Amino acid sequence: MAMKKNRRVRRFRRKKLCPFKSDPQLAADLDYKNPKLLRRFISERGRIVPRRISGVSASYQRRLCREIKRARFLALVPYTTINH
Amino acid sequence: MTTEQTRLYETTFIVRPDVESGAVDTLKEQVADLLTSLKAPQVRWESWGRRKLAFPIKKATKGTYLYVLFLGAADTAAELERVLKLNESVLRSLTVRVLDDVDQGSFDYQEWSGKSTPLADYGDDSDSSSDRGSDNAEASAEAGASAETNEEAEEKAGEDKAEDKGEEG
Repeated sequence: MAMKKNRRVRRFRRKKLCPFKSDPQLAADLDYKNPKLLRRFISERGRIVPRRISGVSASYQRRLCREIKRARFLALVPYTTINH
Repeated sequence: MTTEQTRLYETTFIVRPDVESGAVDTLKEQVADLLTSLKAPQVRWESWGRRKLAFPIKKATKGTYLYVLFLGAADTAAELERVLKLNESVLRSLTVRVLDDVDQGSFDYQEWSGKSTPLADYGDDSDSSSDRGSDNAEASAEAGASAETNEEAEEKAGEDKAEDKGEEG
């Protein structure tokens, strides 16, 4: 078993950089009043993109999540794109 | 809890689309008067114009967005929220605390009144502005639909193969 495990190809993945940490302007623009920016982090179905995919740092993911939820309440951004 | 803290609040509210622009202005004045009577200085007003909503609220698909940034105590924000909730032409309102513990004397009005949000100055009743927001939503909805059909197609293909194998066996 150990042999097999070792033989398994490990794909190299570059560590994703947090888009907010690498771009202070983007971080400053992170706001529920900026749906255009928020849409970058929302899937086609309207779901919040997990940070393992978007590479957002934990602290910014928490803020992003909060802002998306505020924007959703004001109907600036969808909760879901189905069922209506 | 002994002293009333002054905070910077921002309130966004959505007015029903069947309310005429004149009536929207009246509503805006009412809110402005209310804030003035509560001794809450308004730093900035913004009109985001008539935008398409991401989803219908009370069967309305569009709404006129108004935004106000003001200084006030917790009571002020609560009273404004209460009034907006009672008003039937207001579909929804959201108040967010921007800054805590503001000193009214040293508050930089100019800096805060000079800023503007990305949605500001779209103007009233301009349809081009309201469509801007909806383009993305429609595009993503379409993309979502096509993704679905792809998945279905793959599933069907998988089923077909399985059947073929079954026949061969």
